[in-house]
Amino acid sequence: MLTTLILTAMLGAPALPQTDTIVPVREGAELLVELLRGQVNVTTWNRSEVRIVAEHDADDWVEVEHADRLVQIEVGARYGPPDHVDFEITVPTWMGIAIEGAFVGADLRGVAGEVSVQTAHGDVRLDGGRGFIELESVQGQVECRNARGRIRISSVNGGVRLIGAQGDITVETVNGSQELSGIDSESIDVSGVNGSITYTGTIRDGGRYMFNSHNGDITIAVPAGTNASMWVATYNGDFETDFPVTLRETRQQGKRFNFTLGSGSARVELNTFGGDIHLRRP
Amino acid sequence: MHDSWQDRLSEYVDDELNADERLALESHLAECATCRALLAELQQVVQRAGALSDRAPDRDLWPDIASRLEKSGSVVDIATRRAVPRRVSFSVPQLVAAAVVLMAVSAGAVWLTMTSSSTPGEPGVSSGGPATVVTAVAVTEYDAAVAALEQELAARRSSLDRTTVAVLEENLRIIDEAIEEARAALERDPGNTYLNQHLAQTMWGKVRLLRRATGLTPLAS
Repeated sequence: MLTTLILTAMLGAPALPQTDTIVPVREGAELLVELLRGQVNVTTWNRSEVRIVAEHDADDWVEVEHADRLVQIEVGARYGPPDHVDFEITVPTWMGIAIEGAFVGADLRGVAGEVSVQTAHGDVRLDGGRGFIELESVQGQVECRNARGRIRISSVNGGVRLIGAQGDITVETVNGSQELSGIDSESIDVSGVNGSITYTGTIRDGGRYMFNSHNGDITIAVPAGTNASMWVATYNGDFETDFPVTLRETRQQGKRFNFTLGSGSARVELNTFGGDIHLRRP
Repeated sequence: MHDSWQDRLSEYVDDELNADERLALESHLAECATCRALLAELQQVVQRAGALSDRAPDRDLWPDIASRLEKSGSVVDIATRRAVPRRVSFSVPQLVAAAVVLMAVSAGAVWLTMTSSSTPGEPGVSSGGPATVVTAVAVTEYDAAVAALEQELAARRSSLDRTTVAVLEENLRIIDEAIEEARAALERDPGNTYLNQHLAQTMWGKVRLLRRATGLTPLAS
């Protein structure tokens, strides 16, 4: 049964009105938060309930709908578009979460379900997440720690930090740096236009690791004992390595090399039009 | 001018309209040249896309990853995990643009594969075939795709925040500069497969950004 709770704040209260409600959920339910402006902070607990605390203007309200498999939170306004709303939401650890908005920051900690955050302006921070993870911001930093699964991260005009992630990873920016550290993956695809790319993590046998930039430098830590076929191309930049490799230069215009480490089992491609490429030991 | 039937053409092609809707759309098509043209374009895209052969990846990495994660006891199966499948829907211009670019990239990949290579295994190496031919074909279709998406974005511009639009335009400019640099380099060095690939990837990046921009949350819904 669909239950709808419309919680309207009291008019004339001296402090910001506050919504505070708890809804029960069953295992497998997902949370969807849609708002125009605000901050959404999510933490977890071991109860099969979702607690929603929100501060908002007197003319705005928070609407919570919950069905069998979905808890949906929206913000409404008496006049025009809703103003800024700050959410503190507590969810079961397993719960899948989706947050969508225009001017929205998000900070999720300790979650162990799927996560999707899409915002135009705002920073996104996630600690945790399992399964399909998708974090997007147009103008904002995106930071993701300890996620596992299929991870898709992008920021148009901001940097990305991915730390301690495990799984199949795609990262993209236009104008921002990309830092990947402590990664355990067999499939990495990182691309950008401006901004540097750095990577430390596994290079597993049979894996595929693609790093592409237009103007950014690319720095990759290559562990000793790595088995990889390395393809390196830079048009206007330089290539340097902290350890000896036997290069085969395939072109004079620009710099394109390939070389093999160990059995050559993994495939690593490093391409930047205008940046430098640097291989180092972890 | 945009009419509401334009957004239903994709469903019409996919035979997803009910009998009444289908009849109403066909009646509209008899009177609307714009929709007839869009429908013809869409049907052509579907036909051409259907003719493309799928190229399976050398190896699906996910089963191994999932297996390792499951052994660690901290992940559930993605296929069964998602309770409510997310449906991604595109407007007709977006669909056309995406398909056109897909075909352009596919055509480029096929050409590069067919004409490779003095170095087995090298990423997309052309052995001296006219790489610019691939680029010329791709660029024509890319321009059409970008124009369709830019039109879609222009139509939504007033509903988006001005700062967001400014950020998007600045980043589109950055990508355009990168495309021009890659094009200029390719003109100087037309046999350079890296440049050819880099140009294609950068162009594709612009299409992705435009598609994303057209899907942003509007200020007022």
